[in-house]
Amino acid sequence: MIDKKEIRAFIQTKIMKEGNIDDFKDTDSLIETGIIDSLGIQVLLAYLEKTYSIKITDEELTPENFENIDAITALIQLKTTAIR
Amino acid sequence: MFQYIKMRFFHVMEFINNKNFLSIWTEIVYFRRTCILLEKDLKNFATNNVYVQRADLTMIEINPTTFSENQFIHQSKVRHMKALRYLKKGYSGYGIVRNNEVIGDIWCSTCHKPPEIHPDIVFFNIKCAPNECYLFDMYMSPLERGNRNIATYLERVVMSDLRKKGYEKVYGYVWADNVPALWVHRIIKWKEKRRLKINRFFGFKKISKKAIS
Repeated sequence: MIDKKEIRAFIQTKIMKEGNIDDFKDTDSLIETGIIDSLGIQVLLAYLEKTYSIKITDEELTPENFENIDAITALIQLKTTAIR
Repeated sequence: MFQYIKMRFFHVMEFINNKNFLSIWTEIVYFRRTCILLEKDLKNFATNNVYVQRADLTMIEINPTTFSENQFIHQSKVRHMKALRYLKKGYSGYGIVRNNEVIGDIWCSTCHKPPEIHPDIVFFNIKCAPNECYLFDMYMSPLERGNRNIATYLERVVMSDLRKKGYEKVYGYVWADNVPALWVHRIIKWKEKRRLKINRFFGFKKISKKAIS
């Protein structure tokens, strides 16, 4: 089971910087709000791959897959299901 | 020639300082590294309000005049040397400036204008028209990376300006393993034309025969 709270907590503590919005919903765009930028995506990718023991390919590195918490969760769900 | 060697030396030193000694090898020796050729149609590119204005930043064109007058200082010594070299070759550049300091830049080569076209255009066999150009060597100061999508901002403003100048298409490439660069290009929605496998051993670079499309 993918824990959205964990992913959210990681983004809030490790990626969000001063000046960014304080809070966001699972459906809020992480891209439009500037929460995930080019460096943030690298940090997030490393975290997801390590935490869920998956490999996210460059083809999967799309704005659609990382648009919001829901989309990220769906991607991880798909990847972890494929492994099993 | 001496200037070129000097530039390369400083480039290596800067690279090592920003990353580590081993990382330089991954840039000069690789086998079947995936490269994605890109193009972006500018015909429908909105030239106004396509990006959020950044009050702290100014965009400049790097040309012989702005460069020779020393109006702006490059944060990186290597980028200053590269700018000098690129201007001699006839390329044009754009810089992103804060407090008179160039913190990032990107360069543009047309396919027909003398004195020189960029070697990548030949290497990748890019067929571009007079109203098209090749964007290359985007750089952002390590201190600025991840600063509220600053690289995306740079590319968007440059595309907007090129569109205003009448350019209809731009070309470029990105390494598939360069996550930050790939992300910037995907946010801007470059069209991914072909995927190639490239082999390199120091100065020798070749497209693998088993290239993927």
